Amino acid sequence: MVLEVYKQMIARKILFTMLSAILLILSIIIGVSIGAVRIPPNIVLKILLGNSLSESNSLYTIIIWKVRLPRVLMASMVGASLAIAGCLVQGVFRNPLASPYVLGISSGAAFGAALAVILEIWLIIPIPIFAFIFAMLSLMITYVVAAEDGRLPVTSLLLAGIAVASLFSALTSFMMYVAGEKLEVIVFWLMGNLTGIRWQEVRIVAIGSLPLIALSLFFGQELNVMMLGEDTAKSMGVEVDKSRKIIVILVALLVSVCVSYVGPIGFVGLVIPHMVRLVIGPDNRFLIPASAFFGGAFLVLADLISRVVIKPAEIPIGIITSLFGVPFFIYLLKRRKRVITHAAESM
Amino acid sequence: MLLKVCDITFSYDSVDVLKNITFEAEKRRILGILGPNGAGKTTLLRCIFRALTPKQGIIFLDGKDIRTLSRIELARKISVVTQENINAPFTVLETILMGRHPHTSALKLFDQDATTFIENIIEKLSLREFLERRLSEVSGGERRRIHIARALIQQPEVLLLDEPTSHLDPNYKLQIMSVVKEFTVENDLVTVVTLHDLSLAARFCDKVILLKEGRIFAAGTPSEVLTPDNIGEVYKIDVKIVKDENGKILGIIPLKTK
Repeated sequence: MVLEVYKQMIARKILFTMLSAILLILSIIIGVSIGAVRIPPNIVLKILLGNSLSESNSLYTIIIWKVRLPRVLMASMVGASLAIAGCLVQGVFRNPLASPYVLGISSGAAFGAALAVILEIWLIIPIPIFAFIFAMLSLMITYVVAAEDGRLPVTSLLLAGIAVASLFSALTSFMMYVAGEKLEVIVFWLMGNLTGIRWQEVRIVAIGSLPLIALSLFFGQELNVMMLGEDTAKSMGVEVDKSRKIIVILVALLVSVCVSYVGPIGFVGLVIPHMVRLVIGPDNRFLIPASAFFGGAFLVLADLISRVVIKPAEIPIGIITSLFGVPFFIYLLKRRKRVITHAAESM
Repeated sequence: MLLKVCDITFSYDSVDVLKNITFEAEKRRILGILGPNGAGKTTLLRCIFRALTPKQGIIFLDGKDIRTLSRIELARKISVVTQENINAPFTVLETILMGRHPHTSALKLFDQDATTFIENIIEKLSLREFLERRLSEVSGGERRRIHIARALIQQPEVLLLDEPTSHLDPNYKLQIMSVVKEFTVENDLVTVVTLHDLSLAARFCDKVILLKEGRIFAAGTPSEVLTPDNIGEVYKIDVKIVKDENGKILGIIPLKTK
């Protein structure tokens, strides 16, 4: 009897998770097929499956394999990583307003990028490397400031994150103030973009983020238990302090890897987990994978829009995620206001 | 199963909150921990499930120092209902099934082996009709029952309850204590419960410990400990104690503060 009720309860969650996965696959195919040159989806599929080397398709093959696929895959990995980071951070802070950027990491990365541009180091060391170094530096500062006797209290962590973010934002603003004609490069980076992504970058981000994504799936139930309260979680066998540290570092790495390559893309990490939560509820064992698929699909489609709206020019993807994401989110919010009010009040 | 607390001293900064606490709790018995606000009742419970580490002293479970157990091992032996106002966004069923957490792997969705056991607890605590509701949609008394169910589903040998009856109406108070009593006897549990309601403690506890400023002021059966003198000394109130013909305490009525 309980088993039946429970099965019914999770059937919807499993279904949605699977639909999100299908949506991700579809959006990858659509993302690859649409662009300056339109390639019919059936040819895209053939080429992706590797059985089309006829003369007429060789141009398509080049476009797909050299240009679009790496970019689309990058978008899906970044979307998935940011969405997962959002789930984890909202669970750990038990606060629905937390975004992966509250730890101050993205501000650190932004400063690193700006500095690399100003000092013209980026001609020797790529911007992402510099951004990543400063993302790690900002994480260390946040962590050290927040830690108390080996523990990591959430309030301290939140405050330390805000402080570090403010510090690096101010420094970034200063960099922009003195940037002169380099300002454009910095601003472009800050708005987030996937222009010119090649396999090399995809490979690095995949090596960095895919294991972290897999690892995060193991924290679903622990996060659920932690949401019952710190003492209760301890009594149920969760090493709260240890798990929290691991999760914070997991979030920091996920965010750093992505932000360093594509800039601080907003909205995804904050809102995708909420969208998914509105549909399937707060159980992190489903929320994390579903958000990953959904976030991946969302960013692939956002990137597609950013490429085609004013082609041949591109709109930075950060603008698209907010412009298109927010109305959709408001729609969901209005429709399911009751549920989210509950979720927000009780988190 | 035997819970043995040996000479526990705990301090926040340099202020001793618990001083030289020693007692034993046996299976199939409810031990009540009583005392005014700030006497150290909750702190004592938190030491037992290792949310806090005492400055001095050892807690033994069946002769084993609890510090030698991992948290997950400890969670298989001790389960707790804390006073945390737990109002997570989960449904009732999701919440109580989390009780299986220490017994199942991270990726397993449902512990099928425990189905009958879980059914039984849901039945006993009359939670069937609530299963699909959200935790935020049920009343305080129901929520308390849900968390007790969650703690029982954790299949403990020791059950710790921190103020399980506070803010509840008389009906719920009796109901919850009766269920706790029943489970304690049927499942060979060592149950330790902190209570403010002295009448309830007298009625349901087999033994009680009266704490005053972090020390054990008196310990023994309810009728030994809950005398007008002891209560007067610890709570600074005058009380009238109503007993039945066998000398068992029926109620403790506060008359005036001292």
